Amino acid sequence: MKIVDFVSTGSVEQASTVLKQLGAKGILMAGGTAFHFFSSEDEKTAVVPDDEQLKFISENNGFFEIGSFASISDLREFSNQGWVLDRVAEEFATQQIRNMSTLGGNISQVFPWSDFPVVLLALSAEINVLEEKESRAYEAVDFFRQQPGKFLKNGKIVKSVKIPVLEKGEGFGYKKEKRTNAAFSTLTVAVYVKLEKGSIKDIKIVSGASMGMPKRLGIIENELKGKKADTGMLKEKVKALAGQYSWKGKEGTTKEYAGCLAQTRITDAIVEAFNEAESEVE
Amino acid sequence: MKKISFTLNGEEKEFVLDSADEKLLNLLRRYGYKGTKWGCGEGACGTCTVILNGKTVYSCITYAFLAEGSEIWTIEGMGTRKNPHPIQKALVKEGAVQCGYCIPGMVLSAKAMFDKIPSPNDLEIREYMDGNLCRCTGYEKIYTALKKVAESNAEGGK
Repeated sequence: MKIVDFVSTGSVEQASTVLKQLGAKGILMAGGTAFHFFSSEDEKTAVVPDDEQLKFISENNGFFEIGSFASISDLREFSNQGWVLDRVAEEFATQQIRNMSTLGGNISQVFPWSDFPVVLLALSAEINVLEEKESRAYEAVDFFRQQPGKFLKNGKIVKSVKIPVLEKGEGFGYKKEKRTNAAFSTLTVAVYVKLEKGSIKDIKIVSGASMGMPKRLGIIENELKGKKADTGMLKEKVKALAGQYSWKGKEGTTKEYAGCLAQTRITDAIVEAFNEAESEVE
Repeated sequence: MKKISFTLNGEEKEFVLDSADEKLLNLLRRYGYKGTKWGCGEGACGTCTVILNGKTVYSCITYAFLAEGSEIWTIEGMGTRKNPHPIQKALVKEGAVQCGYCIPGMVLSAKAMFDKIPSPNDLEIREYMDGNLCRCTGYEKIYTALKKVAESNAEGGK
């Protein structure tokens, strides 16, 4: 992408108005770390809002709300009971990229290797988008149904993301495969689980990278719901069902390898979520 | 072309962009701040690291206009040959510098870390330094030097 001009605005509402006027020529500038993945023939005017307004993390009524300009290192450094995004942020690229990249940027243009869409789908996040001077809340499943970059037009801007504060009996698991420490994901798995009296009351399993775009693994979820949270049973079910999905080989690996890796890491992520849910119960 | 201004190594300065697309690394080097090195050019190696508003960034992928009104530190602001910064002293003392090309970025990443956590533990050092590659030393002497700085800070900076 080639930036041919830039406009600094005050509020996010002003940024929205400018973006609407610029139409296809405008692009919202957050960290800008992904811009070099776009064609250099794609010429854009960058719109730079006052990021402090959207750079926050707060807790209210059982939810964390995160401003879309919060950086990945902000997510890493934030600490609170029931907060899990620090575990995702820790696995994200390098310190310099964590400082530059924002949550909003990571979810506004989704690449197969994007980390946070997978996590937000597992956590049933709510994404608040500024549209026509009003905020509209989207469930993550609707927001990520198509490429958000295609729908975030006409001045629409992601303002914030809401995720639940995990309570007793709830757990989260996250596994990310990459060739080197700083590399993009070759496989990501995020799991949310709610246990009740040792049984799986609710479970959401989402995978990305080796699947292409992020996807809920509904077949496995349905098979596990209502069962006892038992690791032996889990391994058997995942082994039997992971092959029903199409896994893509990444960076030189075969699709068979990707499938075996997925089977292992899905299990690992669910066990991590079980352990957290069980430890909270105690 | 548009002008921007920011505080560079403690002094307020004005710069003229050569284009809206210009990256911070290019701007700094055009104005003679050549201690910030050109490496991969794609935000991976870390030799172009500078501190922007207290946090490290890869200047090779940072749009220069984003620096407007900010505070930036580069290696030129870190010490002199006669009076090196304590991080630089520790790196030299431990034999952590070979070809030296990665060192400006290493020093800036370490400064950002020590400014935030004066006495980091081993895991924190590895996390804060994970965006800087070195192809000479194998990292151990660099980490040893930074651990020594951390220990010194814990003892009150003796």
